[in-house]
Amino acid sequence: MGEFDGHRGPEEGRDLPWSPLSRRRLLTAGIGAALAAGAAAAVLESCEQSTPAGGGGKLELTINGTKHAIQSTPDTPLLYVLRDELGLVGTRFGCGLGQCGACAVLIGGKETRSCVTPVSGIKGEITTVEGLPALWAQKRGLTGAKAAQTLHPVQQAWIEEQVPQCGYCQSGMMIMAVDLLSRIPHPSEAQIRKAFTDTPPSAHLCRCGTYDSIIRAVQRAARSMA
Amino acid sequence: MNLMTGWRLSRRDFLKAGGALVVTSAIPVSPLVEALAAADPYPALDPSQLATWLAIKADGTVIARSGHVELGQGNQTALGQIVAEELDVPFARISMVLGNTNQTPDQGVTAGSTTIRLAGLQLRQIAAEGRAALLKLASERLGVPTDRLRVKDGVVSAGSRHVSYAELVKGKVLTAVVPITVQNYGGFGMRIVGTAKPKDPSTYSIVGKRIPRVDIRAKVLGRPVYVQDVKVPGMLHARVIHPKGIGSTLVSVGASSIPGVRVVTKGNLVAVLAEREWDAIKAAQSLPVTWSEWSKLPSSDAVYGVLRTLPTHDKVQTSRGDVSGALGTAAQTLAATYQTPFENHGMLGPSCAVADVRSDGSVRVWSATQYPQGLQRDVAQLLGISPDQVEVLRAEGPGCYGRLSANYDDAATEAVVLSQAVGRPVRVQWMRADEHIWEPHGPGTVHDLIAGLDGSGNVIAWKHEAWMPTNSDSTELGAALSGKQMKGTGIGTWTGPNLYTFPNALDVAHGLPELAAADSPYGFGLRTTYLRSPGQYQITFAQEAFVDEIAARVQSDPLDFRIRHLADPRAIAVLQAVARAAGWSSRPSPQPGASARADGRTGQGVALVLRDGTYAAAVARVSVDPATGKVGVQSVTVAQDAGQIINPTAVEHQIESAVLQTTSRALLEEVTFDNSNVTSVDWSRYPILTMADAPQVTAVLIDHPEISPTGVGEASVNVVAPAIVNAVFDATGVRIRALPLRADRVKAALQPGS
Repeated sequence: MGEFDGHRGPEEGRDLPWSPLSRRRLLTAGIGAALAAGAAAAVLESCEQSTPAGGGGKLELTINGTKHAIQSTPDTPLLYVLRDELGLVGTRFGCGLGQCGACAVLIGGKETRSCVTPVSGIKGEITTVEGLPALWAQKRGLTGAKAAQTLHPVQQAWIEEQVPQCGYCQSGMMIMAVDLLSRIPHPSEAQIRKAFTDTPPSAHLCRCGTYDSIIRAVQRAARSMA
Repeated sequence: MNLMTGWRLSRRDFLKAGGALVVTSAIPVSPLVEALAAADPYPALDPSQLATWLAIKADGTVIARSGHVELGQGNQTALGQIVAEELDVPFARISMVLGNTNQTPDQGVTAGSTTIRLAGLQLRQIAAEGRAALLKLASERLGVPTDRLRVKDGVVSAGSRHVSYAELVKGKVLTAVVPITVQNYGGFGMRIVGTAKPKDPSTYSIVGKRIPRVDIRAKVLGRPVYVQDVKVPGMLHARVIHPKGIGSTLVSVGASSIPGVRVVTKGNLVAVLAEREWDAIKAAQSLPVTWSEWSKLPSSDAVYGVLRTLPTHDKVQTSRGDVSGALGTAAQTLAATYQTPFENHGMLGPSCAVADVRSDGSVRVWSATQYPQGLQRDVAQLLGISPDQVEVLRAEGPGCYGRLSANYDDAATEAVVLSQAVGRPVRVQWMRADEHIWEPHGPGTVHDLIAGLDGSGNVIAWKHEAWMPTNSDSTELGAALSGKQMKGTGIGTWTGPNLYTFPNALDVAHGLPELAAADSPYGFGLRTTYLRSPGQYQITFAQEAFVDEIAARVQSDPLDFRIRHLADPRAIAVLQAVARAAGWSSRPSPQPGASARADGRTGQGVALVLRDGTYAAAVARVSVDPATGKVGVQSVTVAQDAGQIINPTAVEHQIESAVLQTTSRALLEEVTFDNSNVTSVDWSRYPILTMADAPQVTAVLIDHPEISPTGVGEASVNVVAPAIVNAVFDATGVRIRALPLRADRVKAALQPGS
């Protein structure tokens, strides 16, 4: 296995232009309405922001510290921009409904479901699982080779606890862990369970059965980040 | 691994362009595609040739090829451990190539916990033959008889003289000392017959060690590892609009209102194709399609009565003594009916595949199938070409638990049909509802049990009848919808022995056809296929709960009761081990003072299974909230004996996986359907376990290095649900005989007079 190619994390000190809480409430409501139709479209519609439409290269997003001109249409969920346009496939497609968490990314440091987040409404820097090492390097002031070789402690803990089985849900799980540890540096087991279950719009689902391993890994990451 | 190298280089190139503003206009081609295709030199596939399986590279690394695939259990690592051990090379020098029809021998489907038990033992023999071949070369080189040679870390030495494997093989094809033969190639009965003797397990230094899994790092770094990540030049994104009802046929389809979207229909296969994925999704949601009405399916509310009325194909699993006669003389009898629901495999990522049907007649398919060679044959049959013209490149997928084992890949066959139609590579990605509705589900079952006891409370008669629809739907949806009938759906089967020594015993499976298959134009009905420990999961639930009922009737400790009716020492040993580890209280169930009011007390329950050579026993501890009926599973302890342990960490994780997934199945999961189709279309209507409700899992491993290894992916799946219902009975005195133990049903069962 080769070393990790680090890349720049988001700049610190930026204001967060929108409240993720209100967005989450919106998503929850939207999903409730969308269930009858089983369609993501209704959710997306309810989330439309007043931001002028991007697309055609006018829309810019800062992802893992790099600004990108986005070619996709403004209604495109961030997930497909990441995976198809930018090749950042570490963010996975699980449901397209905000029901499982496989597509979670950080926007302005908050865990957000990219499958129901149109690119036009995004304000804040985006961090995907690929950007976690740089996020940590920046936080710790690591540079050069040291930064390039250092994983985020959450990723390191995931490896040491051998968390993934199929691994498909784990990018979203690690994103949730980074969000949680940024708010609660030393969460209790109950706080970990609650974060992964009750954070809107849905619980983070794992089908293989790794929840216990995830709890151990979050606790391990918390110790190493102290 | 090639895969890592490919990505790293590509990623660097990508980043070189970085800085201020990166504009990426074209769809980037996934480096995963290059990695999956990047082949080290290998000979034409001939399983009797050592070089088909093994290659020693000039740098001393070893390539070992297996037709089995990684499903997230750690197969790649465990197989590598077996090969490294037998060859005496460091584990880090082993590179496993898995599941590529052009590169790997056919070792059958990766299912039924067979990777270690079958494919692993085949590879062990191959590696032993390889070691013997290398020692022969070394003997000739060093002029020393082979029995005086020593091997360490891939270096053969005789006294102070030594030569490495790489030096020995340089420029040569590795050939077995005595030709090996392969029996039943590709089947479950496949055997590699050779003359080399594998190592004595007492000398092992790699097998049995906690070697970290080699696939985890890439997954944790978010690298492209899944079939969902495959992108090839010129690829179109497709979404298939599946029929409204299971047997609905296409009436009409209009044009898409989304610019640039192409609508393709072939028979009843309807799809939209677009350059951009989001356009395909929008087009699929808005495409005007009309389907015929079809309502031949019994609804999930009424299905259990229907199961008993279907034509059956009976299979007698156990028949001993005279059950009818013994029941006639019994002092008392017990009878009960159990039922299990239709369930989802529930892949966390819906089905996805990429196909490229080229004008020269060759076909490439990227798939997460459990059986690349099986899919290769299906695609060839679908297109009417030779399997040699079809290459299946297997990428990892979301955990599938049998979903891609009999039906090798619906999405792949759909992608093949569409690629042929448009003359371009096509990526089919199912949406969540497609997967929840159209996956071949785990079958629901109904069970009648009766036991006769003599005047002293001894069991003198046991009878278990089970009605179960097919476990082996092998329909390829792309073929069936496009009008190509290929394979039948089979009938339900029983799996697993009855370990109990009851003197008169009869276990009969009434194998049923697929629900409503006879009334569908496609030949399939409510699709049902192998789901993790298929058949035995349902059988064990009914059997182990009913054994508990008998133990309660005779006021015997359910654990002691089992042990008294067992003769197999390994079965007894797992029960004793789990009792010790879980702190089992030896007493009859229900516990003194147990009440339907539950009042927060904790119950204990036990269950036992033998699954394909692996013994497992579980003890569950649960509490029941009488106000809501919610069953809280606090802990599950599992003791397991799978013979020789290859990697204890991987085994522990498989047990953790089995417990959490099965707790989910036991407490929550049920596919619902009306007369037309599945109605549990997403995770909100098919809820699964969340972290909040995950029990604490303790795994006790019983290692028998001298006993041939058996599977670890399925055995413990079977014991969780019965241990939980038995623990609910212990806490409340209320026996619940239907899964899932949904809160509303448990609450109703706890009501007085229910």
